[in-house]
Amino acid sequence: MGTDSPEKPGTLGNIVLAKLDTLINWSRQYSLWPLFFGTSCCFIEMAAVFTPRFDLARFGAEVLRGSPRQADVIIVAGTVFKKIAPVIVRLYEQMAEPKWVISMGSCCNCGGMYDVYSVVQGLNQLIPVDVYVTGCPPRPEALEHALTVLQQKIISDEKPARSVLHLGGGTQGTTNPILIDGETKSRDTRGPGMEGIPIRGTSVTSPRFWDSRSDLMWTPPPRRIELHEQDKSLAQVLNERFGDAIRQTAGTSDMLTFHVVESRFKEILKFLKTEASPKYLRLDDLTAIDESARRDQKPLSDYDGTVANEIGQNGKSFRPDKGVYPDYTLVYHLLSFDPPGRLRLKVGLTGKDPTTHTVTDIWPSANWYERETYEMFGIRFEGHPDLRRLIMPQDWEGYPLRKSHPGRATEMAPYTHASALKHQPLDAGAFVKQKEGDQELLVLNVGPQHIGTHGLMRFIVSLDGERISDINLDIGYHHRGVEKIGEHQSWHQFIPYTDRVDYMGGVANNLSYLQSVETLAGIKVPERAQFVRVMLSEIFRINNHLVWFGTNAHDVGAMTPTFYTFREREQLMDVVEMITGGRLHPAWFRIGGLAMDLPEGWKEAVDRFVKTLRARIGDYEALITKNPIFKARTQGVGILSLRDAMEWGVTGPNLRACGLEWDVRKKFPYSGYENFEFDIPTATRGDCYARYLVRVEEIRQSLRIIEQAANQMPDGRYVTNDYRYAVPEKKDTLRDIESLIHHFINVTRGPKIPKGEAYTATEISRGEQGYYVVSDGLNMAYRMRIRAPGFANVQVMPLMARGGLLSDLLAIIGSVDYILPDIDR
Amino acid sequence: MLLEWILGFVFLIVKLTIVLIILLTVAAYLVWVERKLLGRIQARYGPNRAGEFGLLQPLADLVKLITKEDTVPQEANKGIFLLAPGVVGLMALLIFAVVPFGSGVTLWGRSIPLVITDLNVGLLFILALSSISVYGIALGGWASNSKYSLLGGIRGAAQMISYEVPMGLSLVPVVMLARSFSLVEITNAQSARPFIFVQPVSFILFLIAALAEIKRIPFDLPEAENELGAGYHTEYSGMRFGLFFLGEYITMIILGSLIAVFFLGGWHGPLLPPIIWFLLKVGIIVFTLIWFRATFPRIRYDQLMNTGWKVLIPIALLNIVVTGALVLGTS
Repeated sequence: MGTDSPEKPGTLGNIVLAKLDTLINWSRQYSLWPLFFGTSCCFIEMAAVFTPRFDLARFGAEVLRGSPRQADVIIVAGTVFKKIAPVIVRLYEQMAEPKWVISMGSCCNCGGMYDVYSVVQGLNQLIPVDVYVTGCPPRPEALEHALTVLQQKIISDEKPARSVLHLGGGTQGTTNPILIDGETKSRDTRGPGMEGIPIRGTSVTSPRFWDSRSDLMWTPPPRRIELHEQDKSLAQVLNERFGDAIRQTAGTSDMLTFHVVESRFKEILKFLKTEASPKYLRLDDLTAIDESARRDQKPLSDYDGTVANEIGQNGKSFRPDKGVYPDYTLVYHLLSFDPPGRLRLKVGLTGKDPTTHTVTDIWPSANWYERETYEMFGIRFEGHPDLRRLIMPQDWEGYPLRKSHPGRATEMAPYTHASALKHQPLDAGAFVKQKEGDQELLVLNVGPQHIGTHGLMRFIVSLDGERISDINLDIGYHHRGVEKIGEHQSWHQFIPYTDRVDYMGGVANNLSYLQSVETLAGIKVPERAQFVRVMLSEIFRINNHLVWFGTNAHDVGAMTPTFYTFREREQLMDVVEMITGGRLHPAWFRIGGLAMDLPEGWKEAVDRFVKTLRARIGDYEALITKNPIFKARTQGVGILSLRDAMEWGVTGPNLRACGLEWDVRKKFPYSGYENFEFDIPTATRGDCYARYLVRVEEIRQSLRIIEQAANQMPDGRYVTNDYRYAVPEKKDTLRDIESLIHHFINVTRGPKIPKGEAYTATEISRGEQGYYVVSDGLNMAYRMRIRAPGFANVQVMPLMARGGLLSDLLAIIGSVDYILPDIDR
Repeated sequence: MLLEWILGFVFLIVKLTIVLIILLTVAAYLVWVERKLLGRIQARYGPNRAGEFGLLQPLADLVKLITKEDTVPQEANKGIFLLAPGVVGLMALLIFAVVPFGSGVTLWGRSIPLVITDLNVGLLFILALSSISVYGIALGGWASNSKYSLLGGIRGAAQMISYEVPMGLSLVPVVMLARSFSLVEITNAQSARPFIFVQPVSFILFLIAALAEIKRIPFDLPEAENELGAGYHTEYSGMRFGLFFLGEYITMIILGSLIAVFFLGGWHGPLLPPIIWFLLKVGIIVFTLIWFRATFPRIRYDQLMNTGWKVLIPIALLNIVVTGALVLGTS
């Protein structure tokens, strides 16, 4: 290496220095303390490395440090988001020399499958990297290998003695240069070495083929449902009461749908919440659609006078079915609890930057939804208490979900080290509204990088002593632009992206998405596939709850349960791997069924796991459930009232812990859940302990479901024979040409889904995850909206945390069990 | 006479050196023991690559820490920032000066007590020094000029001062029974039976208070990583952090020694040589502390304060009164 030693080799000084080099390097390789840092999915595998099966402690590297000052190696595990990039650079700079960097996972290496506006295309544009670990996510063994590679590098390449003794010269730590975009780093999305070859476009990537070949494919019309009596009577009531202002959509694939004029929609929403029968108490989702890229859009002048009048100018509603679109459509999804029902309201907006009314005074939960819609589409909500950016960096230009906004990071200017220095996150002071004359408070940033925040999220806490007098949330550090990606990946290709939306939920995410697509296209899923889907979804619910159990205990200071639950989780991962071939992100469900049939020996593996875990839950509970310290830390802490929970759209175990027996699996049964016997655990107090009890019981109930599914597994097909949409069974493709053609088309181009829209939700481990898919009759979605449980569950956290102590915040974080990609998407 | 004095001095220096080296080595290896034990409790191996069974792990960590850059935050109060870790380490070492670890040996006709110095106010000396080490934490946290450090420092100061009171009070019955502040005398008073059988309440009080004093789970609030990142030592790197780290393990040994001396009869015990008995007792306590760490969650700040002031102190006072009455009654 480049040591310019003034002495000749072999002199006594150099011999001593060489011996010293050896000693220091030997020591350093066995004392690589990692910074507690992870950005997304990979972090779960990074955490797994510390747990019994992999035990990084063997290499002396288990001393996770919460402070960068004390860390030797930063393992950037996961996606490097543009919003978090400045933080990564700062953390790296705060580390004391010598320091090393491991880039873990494809996202971190080069952007991976996230070539999207919010993601930096590689850590090496920001800070130097020593070792890259490939995989999405890499297996824990791969990270261990990376550590040994780094150890090798230290031993063989570094000569630290001169640096340590300040003699001038010597090498230690990372010496690789930062890559310069376009020079040393390839910007070609196809990988390095392709620069000379022109890019071939598709119907959605530049240079585009304007005519999608999907237009040549025929599909049956979308599924149409018969409305319930109750829906019909509600439609009648609304029609009588609001007359011209409201128009029921003729055919619908999933639920009662109305078009409403902009001037009166608020009135109608208020009526639906407070007076209608049933009362639509929850605002399930609020989003918008940019209609500017509709292909069948016709100018109004194409119609004759009467039709033009009927389909509405001047305040009347729009007629998408006749090719008359507004500029933007606001979509409200409402939910009634008793009896369970859903309803969709669509409001057309015109103008380049339209303005409309807020509904935050009807549903407080609309706050974040409107802020998100504002920053993604540029729609302003008059009367909103705090309309500013929620997810994107505060100095972001443009509205990402507009069709005019670039979707890919590679279409935009590269994000470099210089950009990271320029775009610092907003100062905590900007979030805190301190009134004049108030007592001066200590404003503390908990996050975005903090051991306790379970991912990239910032709590801006105003402390009076240790008491939280106010708390603000800053999210968006994990925004992967998945909704935008949904608009340019084919229906089939999008499945792997769903796995990563709730990265502890694995295939359960696939189910939420596929169910919407299958609802829209009217695809029948064979019974066997349904059973397997249920079984795997429940296995992943347990996967989530096991990790939650460990982290929740860790949040209140108990370190050991994590190791026990991860031990069982590894066993669970073995089952998943045996069946699907993947661990965290199997992406194993397909449109109309599964990717393949269950492998031989799956039953024994599942049974073994159920048996082991059933016995082990008792052990976990013995450690925690009756532990007086744990009780003292969680009982009466972070109380959420049932009323608040319903108002704010809280779902999942968090809602059930408030006392409402509400579970989509029971209320809107899907995928054959009605065939299974299981209880919905609830608790009443709505505190951290109640949430804990509910989840622990859910593990038991999931085991019951898995057992039933495994025992009653029906025979038959694993994927639908409706090969228009599905990827055909391999054996069929070898037998008849039709199947082969469908296989080819559906894998490459992707199936065409009929024009229409559908929203369905499933009960994933954290609550209700809904996909609102809008198809323009192409091989990809026109709009892909994800209603994530975390978004609503987290928005309500200030209500729980205010007035508590700083330590309570951690207990609350652990008990709410959120996950970042599900909040920020 | 002069020769006698010089000889005594030399013996003292030799003794000091031996004790210091042993103490530091044991503290360093305690880190190894803790990592191995935690590993075992958590169904994994723990360090085993650096040397056989990972036995060279402490060396690797030490060299790594010493050769790491020593950063001082720009806005820190530099003098105090640099001094604070030293205070913690030094106070911990000084406490050991009065801890007797054996009954004494006879070498070349000289009887050498196995204690650095048998102060007749040894117990007060310990309490005084442990008060001073509060400064290390509080000033370290304050001088870093970081909010997390500050919170950790304040927590540390409040916690240590609060628990000093029950710790001192819990030892009063011990002094009453032994009728001395000297640790040697206290040990000798237990030659028949250890105080743990006479004063179980004191023992439990002292254990809890001392656990809080050395900031270990469930009382590790000043460095509660889930809440405060790294707490009062957030801004420290390299060996300065290492000193905090080492200080913690030395205090663990000291806590073990003190419990052995105050409640378990020090070096007294049948069959085995005194020093082995002493080490055995310290070992058991230290093992228990590690076991605690692997088992308990952390309590909350207000709960900590309530426990200290509203539970431990009243019980300790009551215990003193009862002990006093009994001592008066029996004498």
